[in-house]
Amino acid sequence: MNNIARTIYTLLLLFVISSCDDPAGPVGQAYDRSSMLEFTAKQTIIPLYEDIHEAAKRFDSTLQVFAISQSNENLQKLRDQWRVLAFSWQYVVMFDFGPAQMNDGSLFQNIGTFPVSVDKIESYINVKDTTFKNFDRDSRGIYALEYLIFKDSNTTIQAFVDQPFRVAYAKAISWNIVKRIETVLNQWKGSFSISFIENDGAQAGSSISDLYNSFVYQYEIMKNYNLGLPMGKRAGQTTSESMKVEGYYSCYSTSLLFAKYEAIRNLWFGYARLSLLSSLSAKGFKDYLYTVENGPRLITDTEEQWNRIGTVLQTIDTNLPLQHMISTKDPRLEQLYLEMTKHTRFIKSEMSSLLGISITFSSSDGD
Amino acid sequence: MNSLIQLLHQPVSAYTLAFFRMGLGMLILISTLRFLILGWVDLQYVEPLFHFPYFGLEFLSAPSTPMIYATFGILSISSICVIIGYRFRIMSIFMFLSFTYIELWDIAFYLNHYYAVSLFALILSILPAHVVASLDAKSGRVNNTNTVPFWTHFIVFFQIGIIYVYAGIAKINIDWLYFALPLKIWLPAHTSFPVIGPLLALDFTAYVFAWFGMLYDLFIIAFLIYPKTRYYAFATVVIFHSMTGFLFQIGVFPIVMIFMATLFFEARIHEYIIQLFFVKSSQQVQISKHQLSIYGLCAIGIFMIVQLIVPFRYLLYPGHYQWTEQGYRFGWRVMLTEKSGIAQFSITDKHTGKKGYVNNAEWLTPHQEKQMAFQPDMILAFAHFLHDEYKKRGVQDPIVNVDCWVTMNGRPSARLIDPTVDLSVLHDDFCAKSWISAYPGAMQ
Repeated sequence: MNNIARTIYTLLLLFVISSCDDPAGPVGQAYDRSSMLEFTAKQTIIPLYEDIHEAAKRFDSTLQVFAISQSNENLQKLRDQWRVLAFSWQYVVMFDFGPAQMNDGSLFQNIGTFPVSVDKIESYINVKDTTFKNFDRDSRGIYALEYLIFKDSNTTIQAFVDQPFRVAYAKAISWNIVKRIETVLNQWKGSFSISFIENDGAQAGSSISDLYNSFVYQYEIMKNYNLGLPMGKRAGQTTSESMKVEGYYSCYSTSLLFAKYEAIRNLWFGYARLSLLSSLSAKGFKDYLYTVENGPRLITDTEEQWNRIGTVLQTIDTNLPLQHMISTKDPRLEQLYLEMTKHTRFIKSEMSSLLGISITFSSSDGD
Repeated sequence: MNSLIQLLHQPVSAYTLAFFRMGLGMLILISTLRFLILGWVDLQYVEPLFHFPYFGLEFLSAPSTPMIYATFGILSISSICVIIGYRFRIMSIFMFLSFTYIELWDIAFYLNHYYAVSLFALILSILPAHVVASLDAKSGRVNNTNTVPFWTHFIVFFQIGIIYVYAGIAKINIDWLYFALPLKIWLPAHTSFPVIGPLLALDFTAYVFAWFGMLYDLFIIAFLIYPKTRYYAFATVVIFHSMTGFLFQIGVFPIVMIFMATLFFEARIHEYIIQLFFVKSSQQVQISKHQLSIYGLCAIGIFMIVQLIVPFRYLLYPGHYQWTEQGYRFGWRVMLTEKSGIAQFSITDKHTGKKGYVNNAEWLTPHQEKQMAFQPDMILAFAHFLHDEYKKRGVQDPIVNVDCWVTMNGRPSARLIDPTVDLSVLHDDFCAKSWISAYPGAMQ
C-alpha cells in the first residue's frame, strides 16, 4: 500500500513539475476582480453617467428655450445639444444593468431604441398622449427626439408651429430621459456601486458577468443592428433597409457607430472615461485575461482583430452617413461587417470560456 | 451458474432498498419543486420557440404548456407516493417515465446527473423497495418482509460504481492529467471562494484537483465497500462533492452522489434512520419471494452490459470524441471539457442567390445557443428548423450553411463544421458525421 502511495505521489510531483511551462505573463496569480470593478465603477461608469446626465439636462434647457422661440438659431442649438446627448449615450449604453434595469424595461429599451416608428410618434402627438404607459418604445427616447428636430431641413420648424403639441411631446420625452438617467446615476453614486464592487464572483448574476454580458450584447447590437440589418444582411431580407441605421435623421450614423465601437473597445482595454487616462492605469478585460490560462494568447488574437476592424474604420469618412454608403453598396462596409463578425469568436466565445464567465443572465445547472 | 444465482438470492436487508426509495423520491421531489420555484419550467421548456429533439425521439419534444405543467404535476405526485410507499409499483413507473420524458424534451438541457437519476428511477421501479416502511406494506398490499434478495442491492451498487469508475476513466487523458485542463481555466474564476480562494489561482491547485479527482472517481467505490475505510471514504465523498457543489453550478448532483454513498452503510443504519419516521412493524423475518427468473436475470444482465458498453461507443467514430461529440453523451464524462463556440448560420435563396445571416437569439435562449454552438447534432437539427422556417417566409429552396468556431480547453478556436456544406440536405443518424472538421491542434 505504501509503495503504491509513494509511486502515485512521485508521478504527481513529476507531472506538476514538468508541466509548469506557461507562457509569459502573470498567469496563475489571483486576479483582483474587486479592484477592476471599483475602477470601472468609479473611473468609467459613474463619470460617463454624469456626462450623459449633464448632456440630457443641457438638451432639456435648450428645448425650453426652443419651445418659447422656434427660430432657426434655436433649432441649431438644440440639434447641437442633441448631438452631444447621442454621443454620450454611446458610451453608457454598455452599462445597461443594475439600476438601468427598471420596472418597465431597461434604460436602453426606454431611451435608446432605434429605428423609431414615425407613425407611432405622429399618432401620439395627434392624440396628445405623453404618458408613455405603453410598450411602444420606438415612439420615445433619444431617437424620437432626433426625428422631431432633424425630420427635415425645411419643414421641421413649420411642423412645430403647425402642431403646438409637438413641442410638448418633445419636452415630455426630454424630461423622461433626464429623470431616467438621474435615477440610474443616483443609484450608482449611492449603494449600488458598493454591491457592484463586492459582488466579485464570476457566476451568473455577478458583476463581472453583468458587465461582460452587457459588453457582448452591445457588440452584437452594433454588428447586427447598426450595420447588419440596415445593410440587408439579415436572413430573409430581400433588400437593404438603410433608414434603420442609428442616427438616420441627423446623418450622424457613421460617427455614432464609430463612437459605439470606441466605447466597446475601451471597455475591453479597460480605459477610463473617454480614454482620458492613459492605458497604463487601465483595468479591464484585457488585464484580467493576462492572469488566466491561455489569456496572453487570446489578448494577442483579440488585439489583432481590433486592429483589423480599426484599419477598415480608418478608411471611412465619419461625415459620410452610413445610409449613403449602404445605398451605394460601399465595399468597405462589407469588409467592416466581415471583420466584426470574425471578432465574435474572440470576445464572445473564447473570452467567456477563459474567464469562466457565464454567458447566460440566469442560473441553471450544469455538469 | 448455480452459485451465482444463489449469491444473487442471498437475503439482505429490505431497509436499504426502502432507504434508497425514500431518498431518491425526495431528491426528485426537491428537484422538481426547485425547478418550479426558480421559474425554470417556463425558462427552459415553455418560452423557447424551438426545442432540440433527441435523434429518433423527435415525437417526444416539449408538448403544450398545460401538458408541460401536467407532467411536472405527475412527477411531483408520483415522487411523494414513492417516498411514502403508496401504490409504489405503478407510482415508481410514473416517476421514472415522467422524469425521463421531461429530460427528453430538449437535448440542450442534457446533464449527466439527470441521466443518472433517470437510470436510478428505472432501477427503483423494478425493485421490491416497498416491502418495508411503506403504506403498501402497512395496508397489506404487499407482504411485509424485512429481507430482499442480494440482486436488488447489487444492481443499485453496480450503477453507482459505473458512474464513478467511468467518470474516472474519462479523466485519464493528457489534457486532464498533464495540463490540468480545464481545471486551470475553471478554478481561477473562483478566487473569491472563502479561505482557499487565493489557492485556486495556482496551477499547483489545478493539478492536485485533477489527479485527486481522477483517483477519487476510480477508487471511491472500493473504499466505500471495504468496511474499514467506509466512513473515511464517506467523509471524503461529502468534502469532495460539497466543494464541487460550491465551486461549480452543478445543481443537485453533489446531493445525489452523497446520498448514493450512504447506501453503502450497514443496513442497521438505514433501518435506524427509517424507524425515526416509521413505527417499527412487528412482522417476522420472512424469506423474500422476489426470486429472479431466467428472464429477469437476462434482463438485468443485458442492462448491465449496455451500461458497460455504451460509454465506449465513441470508439466507433473517427476523430476525438471531445471535439466531435460523437458518442459523448451517456458516457459519464462529468465536468471534463471546457468548450464554447459561435455558430453563425446563413440562409441562401437558391434561386436568387441572396444570402442572409441568422440571429440565433430570435429562436434560442442563451443557454440553448451556447449548447448548440459546439454540438454538431444540435447544429444540424437547428439548420433543418431554419430551412423550414425560411421556406415559410418565402425563401426559395433555402441553403443552410454554418460558420462555426469552437474553442476547447482554452485553445484557439477552430472550425467545427465545413462552412460550404448545405446542412439542410443532410440527415442525422448514428453513422460518423463526415461534415465535422478534424481538430487542427494536437488532441490527446
